[in-house]
Amino acid sequence: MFFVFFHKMADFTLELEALRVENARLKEKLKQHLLVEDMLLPSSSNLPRAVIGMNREGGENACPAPPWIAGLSHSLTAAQIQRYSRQLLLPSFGVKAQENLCKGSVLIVGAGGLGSPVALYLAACGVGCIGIMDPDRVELHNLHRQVIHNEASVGETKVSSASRTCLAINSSVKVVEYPFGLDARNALDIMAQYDVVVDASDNVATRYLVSDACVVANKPLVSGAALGMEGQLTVYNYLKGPCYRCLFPTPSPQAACQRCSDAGVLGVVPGIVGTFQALEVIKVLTKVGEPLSARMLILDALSSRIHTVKLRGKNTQCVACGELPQITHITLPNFDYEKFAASPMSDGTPPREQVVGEDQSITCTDYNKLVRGHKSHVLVDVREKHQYDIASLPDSLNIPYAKLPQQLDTIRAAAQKHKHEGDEDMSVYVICRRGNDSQRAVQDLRSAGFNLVYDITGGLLSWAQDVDSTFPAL
Amino acid sequence: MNKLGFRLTAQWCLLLWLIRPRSSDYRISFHFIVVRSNFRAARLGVRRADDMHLTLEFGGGLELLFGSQKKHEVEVTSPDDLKEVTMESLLSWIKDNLIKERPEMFVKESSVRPGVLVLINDSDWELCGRLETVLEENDEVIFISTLHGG
Repeated sequence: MFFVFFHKMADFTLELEALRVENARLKEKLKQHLLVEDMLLPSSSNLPRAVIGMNREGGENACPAPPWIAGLSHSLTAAQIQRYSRQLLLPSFGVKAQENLCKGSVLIVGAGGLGSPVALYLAACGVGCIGIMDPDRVELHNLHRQVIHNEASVGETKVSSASRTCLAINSSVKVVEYPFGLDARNALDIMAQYDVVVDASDNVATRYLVSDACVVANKPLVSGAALGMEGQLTVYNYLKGPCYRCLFPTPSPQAACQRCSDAGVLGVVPGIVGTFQALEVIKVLTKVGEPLSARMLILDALSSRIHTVKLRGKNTQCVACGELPQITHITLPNFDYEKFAASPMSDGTPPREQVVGEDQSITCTDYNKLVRGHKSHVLVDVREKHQYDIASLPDSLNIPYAKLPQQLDTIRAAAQKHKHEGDEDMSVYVICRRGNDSQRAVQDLRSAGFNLVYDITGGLLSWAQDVDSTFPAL
Repeated sequence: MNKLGFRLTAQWCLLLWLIRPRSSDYRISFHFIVVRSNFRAARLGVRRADDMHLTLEFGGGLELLFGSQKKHEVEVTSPDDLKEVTMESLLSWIKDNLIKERPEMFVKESSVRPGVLVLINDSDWELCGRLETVLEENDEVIFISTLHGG
C-alpha cells in the first residue's frame, strides 16, 4: 500500500518538474513576442528605434540581435516584413526579391499617364529609391489619366505632386525630384545613379535620348507607350535584347507621330501599360520571372487583346549598341536629338506656322466685329467631325480638311445661299483648332478659284482667349 | 470552280436536310449562313486556285490609312503568276488594292516607312528574311506603327 503511495508521489514530482520547465519556456516565448510587438509599434516601445534595421551580422560593437530569427541572414526589418508580407508570402518572390527591391533604384522619365502608375506601384512595393523626372506642371486635362496627381496639385510641378503621393503611400522609400526634362547633357550623370530606367515620356526625341543614354550607361530600359486605345511595352538593352535604335534606326516621319494632345487617349490605357512597366521593373530588379527582353507586348484596348510578339536581337550594326558604336559617353552629350527626330522634346502645343500672308487672314477680334455687324459670310470649320461635335461656333459649316477637295461645291452652294442681290463675291472664313489646317485650307481654296477666303488667325484656341472665354477650347 | 461550288452547296443542303434538328432553329440558320457564303463565293468566283488567304492587321494609327479597320482577311494573288507570295509582293499588293489614303505614310521605296514594325505570325520580320520572306496560306501579318505617347 505504502509502496503504491510512494510510487504515485514520484509520479507527481516528475509531472510538476515537467510543468515548471514548460512554464519557463512559455514565459520566455511571451517575452519574445512582447519585444517584437514593441518593435512593430515604436510609439509604445521602450526600446530604442535603432533596433529596427540594425546590422545583425555586425561584430561585438553592433546592436544586440533581436530576439527573433531572421531566417538565413536577410536584412528586412520587422516593419518591412509586416508591410510587404503579402508579397513575401509568394513562393516565387520571397525575402530575397524584396531585399533587392528595397536596395534597388529606378529613374522614371515622365510623370504623366505612364509614369503615374509606375511611380505609385514602385513606391508601394518598396523600391528603395525612386527618381522622378518631368519638366511640366499639372493641368486639369491631365487628371483623367495621370492618377498620381489630384485637383489640389493643378499648377504644381508634376514631380513634387508625384513625390508627395508616393511618400503618402510609403514614407520609407526615398523619392528624388528632377523638375526638368532629360537632355543630352544631364542624361548620363543622372542615369549613372540608378539601376533601372523607365521611359514614360511622350515624344520621339526623348525616346531616342533615353535609349542611347541607357546603352552608354549600361542600364536596362523599361519602355512603354500609349495612344488612343493602344499601348506598346518592351524592355530594351537587357540581356541580349535590342535597344530602341536596333528596332527603329530611322525616326518616323513627323506626320506619323501622333500626340495625346491631338489624337486623344483613354485614361486607363496608359494606366494598364504603366502598370505593366512597374511589373517589368520589379522583375528586372528582383531577377524573378522572364522580363520582356526581345519581346514586345501590344495592347489593343478596344478588342481587349494583348499580343506578345518576338523581336529581333541586338543589331551588330547598331550605332548605339552595335560592335562599333558611334554614340558614346563623349558624343552623346553633343548629339542634337530634337534635330535627329525632327520634333521637339515635348508633347505640348506645336509652334504655329505662318503660311498665308496677313492680307489673307483676320484676327479673332476682327472676325467677331464682323459677325456682330451682321456682315453675311460663310464660316468653314475644317476640324474633324468628332472634334467639331465637342464645341463649335454658330452657323459654321463643318468640312474636315481631308475632305475639302470633294466638298468645294458645298462651300460654293453655301456662299450662293447667303448672297444678297448686288453683293460682290461672298467672303469665306476658315477656322480650325489652332490655326494651322485652316491656313492650308485657305491656300487650297484660293488655288481652287475662291478669291475672298481668309484664315481666322490662331483658330478656336485664340477665339477662347481673345473673344469668348466661355468657349471650351481643348 | 463554279461547278464545284454549286455541287458543294447542293451536298450541304442535302446533308442539312437529312440532319435537320426538330427542336432547335438556331443550328439550321447557322448552317444556312455557311451554305449561303459558300454559294456566294462560288458564284462570284472570289477565290481563285492560286489565291492565298492572309490575315492582315494594322495598328498604332496605321489603321487610319485603311478606312479605320484594323483586321483584314484578304485573298492575295502573287504578281506575274509566280507561285510564291513574298512580303515584297504583299506590300505592293496592299499599296494597289487595300490602302485608302496617303500611301507614303505606309510604304517608302520598296519597304515600309521608318517607325513601322512588321510581324509575321507574331515574329519580327527581321528574324525571317524581311522583304524576301515567303508567305504561306493563312499567315498572319501585323503592321504596327511605333507609338510615342505617354
